[in-house]
Amino acid sequence: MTGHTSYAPAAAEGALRPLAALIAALDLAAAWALVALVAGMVILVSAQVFMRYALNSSIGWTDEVSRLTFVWSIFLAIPLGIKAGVHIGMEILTVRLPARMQDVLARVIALLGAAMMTLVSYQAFILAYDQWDELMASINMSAAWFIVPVAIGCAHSALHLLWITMTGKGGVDEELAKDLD
Amino acid sequence: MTLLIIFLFLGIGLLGMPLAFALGASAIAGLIVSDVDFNLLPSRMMNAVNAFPLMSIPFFILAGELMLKAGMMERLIDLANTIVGRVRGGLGHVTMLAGLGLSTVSGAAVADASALGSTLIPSLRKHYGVGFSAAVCAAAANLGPIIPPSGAMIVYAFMAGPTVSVGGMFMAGIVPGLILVCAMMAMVSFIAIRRNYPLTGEAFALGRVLHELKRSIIIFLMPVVVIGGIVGGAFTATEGSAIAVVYALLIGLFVTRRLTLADLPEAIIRTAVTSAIVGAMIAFASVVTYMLTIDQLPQHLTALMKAITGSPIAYLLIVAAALFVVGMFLESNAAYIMLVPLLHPIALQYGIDPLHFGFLFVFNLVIGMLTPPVGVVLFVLCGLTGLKLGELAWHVWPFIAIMYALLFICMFFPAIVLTVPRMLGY
Repeated sequence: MTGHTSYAPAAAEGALRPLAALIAALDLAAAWALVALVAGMVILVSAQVFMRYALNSSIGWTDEVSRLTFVWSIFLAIPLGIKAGVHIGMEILTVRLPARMQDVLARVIALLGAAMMTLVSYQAFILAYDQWDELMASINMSAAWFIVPVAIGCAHSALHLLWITMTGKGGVDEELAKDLD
Repeated sequence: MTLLIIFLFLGIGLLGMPLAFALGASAIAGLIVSDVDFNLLPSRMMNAVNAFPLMSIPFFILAGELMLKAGMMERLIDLANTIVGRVRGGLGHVTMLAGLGLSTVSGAAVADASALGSTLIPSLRKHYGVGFSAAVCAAAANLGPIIPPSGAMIVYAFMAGPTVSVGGMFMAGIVPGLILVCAMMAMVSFIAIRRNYPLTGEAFALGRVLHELKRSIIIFLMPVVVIGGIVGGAFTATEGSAIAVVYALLIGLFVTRRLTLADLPEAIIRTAVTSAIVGAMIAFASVVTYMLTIDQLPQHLTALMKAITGSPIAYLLIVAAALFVVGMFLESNAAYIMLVPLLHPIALQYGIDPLHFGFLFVFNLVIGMLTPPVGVVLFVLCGLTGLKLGELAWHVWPFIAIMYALLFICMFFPAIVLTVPRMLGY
């Protein structure tokens, strides 16, 4: 879809194959959702300016809906950042370790990250469930839709980190990382 | 609890965990120790990024991407070449002016380094050698976050809260940015004459300048409309950045016709992922900030600083020294997100102007993008040229020296930073 980035399942065998397929499907869905969300944000915010100056009017819900789309775009893009290996880190010590130790450390750290993301995702699902009856200020939609992307994005991130834990370097998408550089 | 959070963050950060996630893990440890409910995590994380001003980050990134895809670099280079191409070190001056032009539509040094390096280094290295060529591109790219619009200034203003406006920060960067360009061009001339670099380019001709100016005017209209609109109060920074995206799209699709609809998904996904890197840090850091506030760290830190010195200048020097070290080891966005909530309120206690402090803070960390071992702009140019980090650092140090000299001049003469914002009512 992006021309450079592959969303095909990473090479995997046996029990890992379904997980690879699930992650690839989620990545592809997140990528398309991001295109729609960012495009929607641009349209909403620029339409608001156009309405204000050209038609001397304003749409009351654009602020809240554009913020909602922004929150979704941030949390859906976090796992793609893990896939690309572009989240900022300090490598000043780890690069000096022997290769085998680097690999073990990367897996342990990824497992810790996966546990943290699972906890955040679980808490977000509970919070969304609890807040489901609360409505947004400007439209007749549950305010919990602001929390749902936290749950989805963190669950998706946990899967990527789990994948790194199990396969070592499987989480890095060299093409996307190169694109982002 | 504060010490636990800080040491845990540093420990797992140094072991290789991405900083955003290291912040999250240390925040969870803080929640466990202080017996605070875990449901604080998702609500604070969501609220941290549920902010209209932050939307300008992806918008300005996307606008810059689209302008580059629309072929603006070539037009900027052609224009700069007609003006300064024939003087000694001409291609170096062209790079500086192209960097200046690029910085008016793009607010990120890394993206600018990639654009300048990939476009100009092939010509530069033929005449000046690869080291100087890469150093000039690195220095020119660093104008990106100083001249408005600036992603760094947006993040700073957001983290500093209501005492700092994005428009005010943008205006604070104009005069220092222009002084920096002139000083760096003087350095290019000095090095070119000393090393006897050959003359390149065609002789100055007013007709050619006017022709190229006409071709480039469409690029320069964008900052005039967008930044002018933000400063003039016609729209907010976020609205201005969305207009910048629409403007870049129209230029690329209908004027230069170098952009196609098929280019958009890739540009948008790259933009979203780049924004999420910052967004993830802001989200997780918000929980840490909350825990540190419960522990009254900002108050303790303020009391400690006041006990050390009562002088605002001494505070600025201490912060500059700290950021010099931080800039060598930490990516700048991470530094804004973690340090601005702690250091900005102390500056206000000292009576330092928030825009003055904000500009110095940003400028210091922007210079840090050129200092090894973690100099992200150097990494980009090493990747493009095959130079080793140490070699490039050797060539770039004269420009770093100029930047630090200007930083200290701005520190002692706040009018350089504050005159334009004050004139415009900030």
